[in-house]
Amino acid sequence: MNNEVLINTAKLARVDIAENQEKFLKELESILDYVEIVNNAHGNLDKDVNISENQNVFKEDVVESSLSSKDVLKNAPKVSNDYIEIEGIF
Amino acid sequence: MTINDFEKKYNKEDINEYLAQVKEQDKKINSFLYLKKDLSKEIGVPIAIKDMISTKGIVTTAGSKILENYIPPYNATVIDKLERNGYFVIGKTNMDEFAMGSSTENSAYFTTKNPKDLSLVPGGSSGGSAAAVSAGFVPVSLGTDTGGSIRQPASFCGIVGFCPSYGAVSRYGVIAMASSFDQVGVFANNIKDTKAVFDTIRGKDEKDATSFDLPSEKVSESNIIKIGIPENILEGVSKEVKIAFENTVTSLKKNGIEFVQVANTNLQQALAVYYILVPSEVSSNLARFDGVKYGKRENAEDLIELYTKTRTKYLGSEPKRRTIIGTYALSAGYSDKYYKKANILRQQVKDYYTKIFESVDLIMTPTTPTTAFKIGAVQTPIELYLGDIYTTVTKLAGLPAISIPANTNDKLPVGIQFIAGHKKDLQLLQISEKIEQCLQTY
Repeated sequence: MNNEVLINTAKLARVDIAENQEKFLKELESILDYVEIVNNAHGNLDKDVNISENQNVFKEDVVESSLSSKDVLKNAPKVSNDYIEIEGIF
Repeated sequence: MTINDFEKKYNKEDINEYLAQVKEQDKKINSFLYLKKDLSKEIGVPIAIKDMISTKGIVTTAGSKILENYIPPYNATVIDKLERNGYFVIGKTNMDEFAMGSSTENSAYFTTKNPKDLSLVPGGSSGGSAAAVSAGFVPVSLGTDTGGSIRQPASFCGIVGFCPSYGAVSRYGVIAMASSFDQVGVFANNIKDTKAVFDTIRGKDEKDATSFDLPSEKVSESNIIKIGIPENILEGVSKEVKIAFENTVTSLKKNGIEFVQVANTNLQQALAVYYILVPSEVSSNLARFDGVKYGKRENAEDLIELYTKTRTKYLGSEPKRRTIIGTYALSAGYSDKYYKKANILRQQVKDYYTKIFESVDLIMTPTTPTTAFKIGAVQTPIELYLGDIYTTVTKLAGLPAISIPANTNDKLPVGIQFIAGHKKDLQLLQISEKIEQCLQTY
């Protein structure tokens, strides 16, 4: 980890850490140092772990009522004509 | 206060008087983020709910400013089940932001105090739920446990804290932190109440594909209970914890429980695995808090700026730290080195437990290396993470584990952790009832 990587990673994570950059860098370096021990691991890198051990969970495809858009939109920061309003993307 | 105590002490007429007492006494503890204003229409046993769990019509913040104004339009499955079966929600409890922390000091609102000593933290992240039970405000409460967030505060506050098998309780409506670790569980003053709440909330839910019904076979009463203690498990623990642990072994032995030493897993390595996998899942789960659909929003010129300004302003340091670590661990070029290697070790920890549980019923360890620490004690992230060394490891395998208070003769509480095999939740609670009896007669 270095400043350049940190800034890049934070940008990908959509957070701006400019104000505490040095503190973050120090903390993240110490965390990464600590977790470095996982590199001792050997085995199949592409095998996933199934914690609940459930397999092939199916259910009947039944139509049920769901939340109304009115209820859902109550939490939206900005709404116009039953749509969530955001800044332009173009 | 147990459920039985509550039912004896309060009837329907004086329920609002009870609420007023809780409100007044909580001024010292700060366990609640939200308390209902009127209980006169409520029926049954009051339960406090960690603010990580969605409650229809009641603001649900997850301890974060980014959800300060969020009112869920639906209930988590566990809330529906409780309300249908004789419980009512009295309020929402304080927690570390998005359940990241071990003291409630990471709450974006305020710090909860430990009812046993107001200068100490109650633990976390479910600190408010633990404090509310420990202070006698409610007989039972719900928390969530991703790496110890029920068991550690239970240990610090001197109550029972139970984290079920991953999948035993539906996570539908529970705000996600690390989806392959998160699990809802129970705080109570005894095993009987713990079991009563657990039996109400557990079971398969079509809305959570990882959930299942537990097998119900019982441990035969004639069986001698065999508990494994991992070798060198007391290395690095405080004197108080060591004494409490050894006294617990002595009293359980007197009551005919058998102890054997079992192999330990590499706890330092397990903690490292945890602190790669959890931030990785965090970085994905917290991506939804972007200011678009719900929660807070900062105005901006374009969409990327809107996301970034909103998240920068309303997420606290620990969520930011973990999101960045997770983004890094999952990024091209690093995911083989961190995420995938950690997954290999996660499977090895799971295999380790499977093997150990071939020869013992339970594993016993301390819940935490120390008793509750001071509010404001300065610790680095790594120092704080090391406090989770006994609790994170069980979550790598999704096992049920419970913290039961040791008999410490009125000194600061120490929790003892008992771990069972996958889906052996009911057997763990059955044996815990016996353990509880042994500790009371010690």
